[in-house]
Amino acid sequence: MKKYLLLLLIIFISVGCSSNDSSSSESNGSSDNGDGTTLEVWWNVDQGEDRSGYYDAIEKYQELNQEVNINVQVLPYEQLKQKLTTSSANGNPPDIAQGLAEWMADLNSMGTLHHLTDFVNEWDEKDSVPQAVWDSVTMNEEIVAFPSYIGTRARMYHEDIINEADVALPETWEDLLTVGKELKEAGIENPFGISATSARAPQELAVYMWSNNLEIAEEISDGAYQNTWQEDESQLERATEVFQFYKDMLEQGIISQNQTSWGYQELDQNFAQGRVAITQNGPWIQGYEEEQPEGMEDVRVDGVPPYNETPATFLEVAQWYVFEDSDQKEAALEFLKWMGSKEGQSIYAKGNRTIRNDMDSEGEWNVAFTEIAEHGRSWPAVPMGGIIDAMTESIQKVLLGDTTPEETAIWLSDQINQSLEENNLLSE
Amino acid sequence: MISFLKKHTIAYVFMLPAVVFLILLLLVPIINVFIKSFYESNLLIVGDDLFIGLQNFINVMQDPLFWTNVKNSIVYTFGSVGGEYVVGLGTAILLNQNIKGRAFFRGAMIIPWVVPIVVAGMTWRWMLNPDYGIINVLLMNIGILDQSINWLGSETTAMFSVIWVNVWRSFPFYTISFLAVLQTINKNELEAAEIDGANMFQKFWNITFPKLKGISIILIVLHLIWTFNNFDFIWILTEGGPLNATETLAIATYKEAFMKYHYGTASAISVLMVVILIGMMALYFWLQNKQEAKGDN
Repeated sequence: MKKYLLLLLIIFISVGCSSNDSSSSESNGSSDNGDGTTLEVWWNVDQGEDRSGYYDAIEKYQELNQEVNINVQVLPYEQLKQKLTTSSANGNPPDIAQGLAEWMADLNSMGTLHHLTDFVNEWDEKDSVPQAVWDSVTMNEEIVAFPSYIGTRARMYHEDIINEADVALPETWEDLLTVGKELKEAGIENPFGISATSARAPQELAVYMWSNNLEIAEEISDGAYQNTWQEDESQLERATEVFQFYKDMLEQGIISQNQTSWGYQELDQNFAQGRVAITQNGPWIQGYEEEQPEGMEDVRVDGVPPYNETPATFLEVAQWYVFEDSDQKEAALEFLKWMGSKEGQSIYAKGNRTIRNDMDSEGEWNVAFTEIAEHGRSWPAVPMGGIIDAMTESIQKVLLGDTTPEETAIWLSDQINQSLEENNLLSE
Repeated sequence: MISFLKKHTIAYVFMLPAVVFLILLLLVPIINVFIKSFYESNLLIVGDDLFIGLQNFINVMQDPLFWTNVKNSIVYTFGSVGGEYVVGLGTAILLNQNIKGRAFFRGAMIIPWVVPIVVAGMTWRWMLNPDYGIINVLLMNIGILDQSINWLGSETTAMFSVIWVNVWRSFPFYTISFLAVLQTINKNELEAAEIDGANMFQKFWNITFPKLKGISIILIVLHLIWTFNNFDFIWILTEGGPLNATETLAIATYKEAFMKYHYGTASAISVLMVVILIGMMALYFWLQNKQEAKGDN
């Protein structure tokens, strides 16, 4: 009896642990069997109504290319990044993934991204995508990602609040401090809205830095970077001004004390409810029109966020990545080529947030965001993980801590250079 | 020996799959973390990891933030376990009484434990929100607060709030465990004590509480380990902020590994967490034994 049991167990273990062609290829993320090609795509796009274009585009592509099957896996951004990192490090990434601009340098430094320079140069529609967009996906003169959609941050406000208080829209920081004070006197709890935590906080801080003619990390020589604020007195002064601006906003009540812990959810929610008069925000806020029709009724978009020296805004270029370890790179590139085409973009981007410059923007919102794209700036081409964390902490230091704006600027400069050094990118 | 093997072969064979998975999923990663802690391992630098001996540990311990993280981990762990113990014991005693609707309360009490952590964390984040969170509204309506408090956004209240939420989530586990033991206590024993003139407190201290000792040790040890390593609640509520006020060693490890990709440093912090936990356990059992020895004398 024991012998039979043992035999049975061995059979179970052998069957259980043996691989099955179909299942192993599925778990591997990609397959190229006799019936066609299955492309594994990881992204964070859920099947919400406002994002239906993404799925319609995939359906259309499969219709046009019967031999291609696209297998989509949806993950929230944070999980997506983790999964991409670990799967890439273990040589088992998907064929394609859609990610955020700040991931590009990290993934490229890991050596996992398939470089697309030759592919893009051979693409006859390359010129339909603005050079600024190509620049944003270029590292060390190599195109390492394909643009997926673009988004900018614009000045956004509640027209009724502005009209009732009878104030002019602020163009500059100085204007904002003056107008903010007037709005405060008129009883507005949050004249201006900021994010002091979450991924949005460093993006907003970067806009203020760029608008005060500052660089986060400057390329000193080929592939070597440095934060130079402490090398140049005028730069340190300008960096100090940025943090002083945050401090002034808090001290003068332009932003409320509660905002020191706001992330993007709190900012968006409060703005959509009409509890924040003016802010800098992206096109996604339009999605609140259904949820908060009353609060959103008087929302208007125009121009870049308040600036000091130079008009600037955050240019968010979401990206497609093709991985070096994918054995279906050709099929993946064909898919991206179609997604970047006029046909693909008309379905995928539905006339807004398109990467192409030969398509008409539809609606007041899209026009406003497209108009300010020329002022768009993106992250420097260095790994941003440590830098972003330090940027968020620097905002909290100046708003919550007892650190002076100048000390905060010096601290952040040190943190940026330390991060560059840890990644062997600091200029000697 | 041969007869022993013959007798137990089948048992070992049945255990084999579990042992294999245990080695692959637990032992191998743990050993890997220990090895990595001696290497300079940065995922963003392509090439082989460099052996640097104890340098990762020295770097970590020279960073003042590490000691803030240690302090935060200890406050969070002991605050949570202490709170959970008191609330769990209190509710267990209440639910052990003959009260109306006892079955309902016993069922309702378990809800915090079964709600997924992400859902609970997000819900508490909104409830503690200074602008429209229900906690502030309630406290202001009943006159305890004059103005709303930024519970998760202020350095002084963030840690307390995170501990509070963790206690809310974990106390049902204590309640169920204590309740199971309380139901085994012989009523005659309590009645006899009552006849001898013992009051409620004396009955609890001399009869009930000693019987909870065994389960208390298990609960405290388990929860010290779980809470010390807890990551999700803090991450969802504060991400370690504001200004690192709730950044524990678990959060620091995550930031090093998944935000900065410094696997060597992250591994060194993890190894130090193991050392601190072993130290905490050793201290706990030493105190326990000392107390027992005192009792025997």
